[in-house]
Amino acid sequence: MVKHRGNKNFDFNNSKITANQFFSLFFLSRISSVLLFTPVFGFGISPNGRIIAEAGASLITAALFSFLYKASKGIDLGEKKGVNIVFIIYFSLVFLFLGSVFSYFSSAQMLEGDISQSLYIFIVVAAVYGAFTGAQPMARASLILAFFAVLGVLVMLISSVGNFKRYNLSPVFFDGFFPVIKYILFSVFASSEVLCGFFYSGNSENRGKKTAYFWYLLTVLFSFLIPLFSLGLFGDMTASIPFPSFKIASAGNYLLFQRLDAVFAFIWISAFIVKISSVFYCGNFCLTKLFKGKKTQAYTASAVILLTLLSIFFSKELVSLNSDNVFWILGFSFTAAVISAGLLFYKRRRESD
Amino acid sequence: MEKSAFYIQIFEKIGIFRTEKRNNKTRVTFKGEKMFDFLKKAADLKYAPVGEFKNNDETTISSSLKANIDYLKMKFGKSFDLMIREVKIGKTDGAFIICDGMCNSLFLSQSVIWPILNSDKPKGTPDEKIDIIKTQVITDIEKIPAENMGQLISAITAGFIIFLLDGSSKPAVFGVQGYQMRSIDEPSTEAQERGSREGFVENFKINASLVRRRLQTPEAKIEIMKMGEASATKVLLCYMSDRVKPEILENVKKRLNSAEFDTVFESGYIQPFLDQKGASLFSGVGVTERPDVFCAKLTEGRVGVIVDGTPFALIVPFIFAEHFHSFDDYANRPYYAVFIRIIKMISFFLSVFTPGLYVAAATFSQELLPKTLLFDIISSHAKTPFPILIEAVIIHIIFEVMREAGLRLPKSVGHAVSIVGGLVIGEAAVSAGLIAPPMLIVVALTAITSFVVPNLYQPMSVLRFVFIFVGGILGIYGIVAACILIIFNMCRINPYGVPFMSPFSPFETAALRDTVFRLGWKDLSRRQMEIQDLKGG
Repeated sequence: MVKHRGNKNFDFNNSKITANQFFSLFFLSRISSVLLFTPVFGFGISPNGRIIAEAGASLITAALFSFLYKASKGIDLGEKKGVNIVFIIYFSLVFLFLGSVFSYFSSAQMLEGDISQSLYIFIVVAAVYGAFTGAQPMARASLILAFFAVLGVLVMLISSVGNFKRYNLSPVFFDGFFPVIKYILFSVFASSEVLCGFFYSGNSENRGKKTAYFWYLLTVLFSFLIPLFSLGLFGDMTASIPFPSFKIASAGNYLLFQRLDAVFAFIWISAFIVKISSVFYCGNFCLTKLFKGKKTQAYTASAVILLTLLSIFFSKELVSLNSDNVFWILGFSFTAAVISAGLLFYKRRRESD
Repeated sequence: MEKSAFYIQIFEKIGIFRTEKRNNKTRVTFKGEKMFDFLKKAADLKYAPVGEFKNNDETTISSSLKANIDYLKMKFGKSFDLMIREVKIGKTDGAFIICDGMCNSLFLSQSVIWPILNSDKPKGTPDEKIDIIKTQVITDIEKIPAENMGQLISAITAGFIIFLLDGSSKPAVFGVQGYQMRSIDEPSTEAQERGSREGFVENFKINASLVRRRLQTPEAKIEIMKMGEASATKVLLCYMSDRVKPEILENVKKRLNSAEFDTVFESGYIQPFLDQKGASLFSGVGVTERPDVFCAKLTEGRVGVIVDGTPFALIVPFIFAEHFHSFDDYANRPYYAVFIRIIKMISFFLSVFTPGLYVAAATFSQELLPKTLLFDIISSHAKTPFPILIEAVIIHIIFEVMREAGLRLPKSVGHAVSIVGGLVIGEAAVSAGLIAPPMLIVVALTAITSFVVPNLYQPMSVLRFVFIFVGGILGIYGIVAACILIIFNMCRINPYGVPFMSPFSPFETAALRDTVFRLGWKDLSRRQMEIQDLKGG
């Protein structure tokens, strides 16, 4: 009998997502929302109010994420058609909204003219590919990208710290509570990562508490620092900048180089790709359940094409659209999705009792 | 017939559409998932299936010498290298049969033919005579059984000598193989400063001995199997039974057994069967020409595959970080090994990204460049007729053509090609104003850095072009997106439960001791780490 050395728990089929990978997915998805903030969807929030609002939204998102992850253990999404449909609607709406914002971002900050839409389409293609590679490859890629994103954000903030003006800061509730609360709610509604964690539960290994706290802390810290720096660097002007977080990249001193915002754009792109990859993966998962295990990648791809085209056309309309409508639509679908997930949890608990 | 129906019939024949009849209605469906089947069908029409060349001749060996010789002559036809020498053992007719050029002539005449012809004429029936020859006359030579004509023919073509006696259907088959082969030499693709100068050669037995000399333990197993219906290539499966995970070993065996070939002339034939399914520029299978590297990998719990006829052995599982390792790393001081590994990684990134980033920065993101450099670049490119993207593509194609030409041509002509290439591109193209000098610097940098990590040359050269195009069309943002897409692709490579991107993702702190960093031997030897110790996930 040969006595084997090495790892006794070697899993040949390794279908597990490690704790770091799992939370890196959450981190990048959440940071994507902070980075892609635009006053168009600020609900009148002031730049100083946003500092606390983003951190608060990240905190609530982390709490919900943690709760839904725990609740999702052992839940089979396939058992309720209605739940799948609610999830699919929510993911479609989130992508339509996020896609529109990113399409607007790429045309306003990255490339001029029609080529910016080609870039957006290329990014969506990369995200679809990522989603179709499966949960594990996506999570592995997410950890690598998260490492570079953290490094990038830190370099960006440190290099611009010389231009930070303390007198630009003002009390966070200077413009009242209501816009802050409304923005926190909206930010949570658009946080697809809360529900995406639900879908990785089957693949994820037991979470380490320390790892979870580390990533939550990092998320909240970055959600706080990024708006803080945009206000500290640009003062009152922040409210009129289309994407104030991106502006930080151009405010740093990079020794030999004039500007490095094009290079720092990798943080925005990688965070966005990971976020929508997760959305596509979960959407595809729901579709597969809905079609009883049949291959649904062709349907998902078709839906993504349709939604991408819509988001491109919608991005121009979005600016003029009453953002309250978006708030209620996203809010309603998010609440419906969370409630349906909660009902599944309740049903399973009652059965086990 | 309606035009549409006619076309549907055609497309159905070549496999694009499928028609079903339901309730008197014909339903035409598109074979989405099998959309390229028609290409496969077209290919099948042109090329005969592998099975037709099978050498599974189970014809029984006759007791008549003449019948056997006639059969072999019929099988080999006009092949000049089938040599049959008829002799007499006492009053019985016999024959020696060999494949000329495959045997050691001196060895076979002194050790087989002479002893048989000059022995004390074995007595008894022909079968008894054969047994006496096998057990008493020739005792110290490899013998293999041959129970049918297929096995007999395989033995002849493999360099064995066959001795047949009239009246016996049991031939004596002796191993006297001996053919010209390359002697053990320094590996040409993995030259090192220190360490062994021995490299694998084409002969599998010599390669096996190179492995065995380094791993003198019964736990080091070398199993043999044959692949290829026509070539019957010997394939050695090497592993350390106490270190390899049984699941990995079984999976490798399963993959090799499922591979159907007509011929196997290189380990590259087998490589795709051991690799991850699906398209990728990167491979989860390592290739080495060095027996010391091969053995070191085996001790880490991997499976090695040696193919007869090629000095390139395969290793699975293999991770991305290992492309930046070399045997010298373990012979040099740790700080220098780390330094060289970092240099290699930087070279890899420079080689892949420099041309694309240059094109993107000069086309879209000029604000990235320092002013003086920007002015120099703009003034140089203002004199050239092509856009920067086209210029970059042309010059890199020329470089690849020159490299390929230099590789294939005889060495003496190769030098001439590099001189002509250098003069034409370096001098004439710049003087004629076809290429800007900064572009030459970019291609020179790219060329030099790409040779620092030779194992990754293939993906690097293709990725370079991808990034040039993407950078020229979508700028740095496009390069970032393409890069993320490639990261997704690399992260999906995981054929044996050990992710290709380990130990970066999944992150494994313990494995970092020999990834980018390399601890000293005092620390490394304290704990042996196997490949399966890397996190899966």
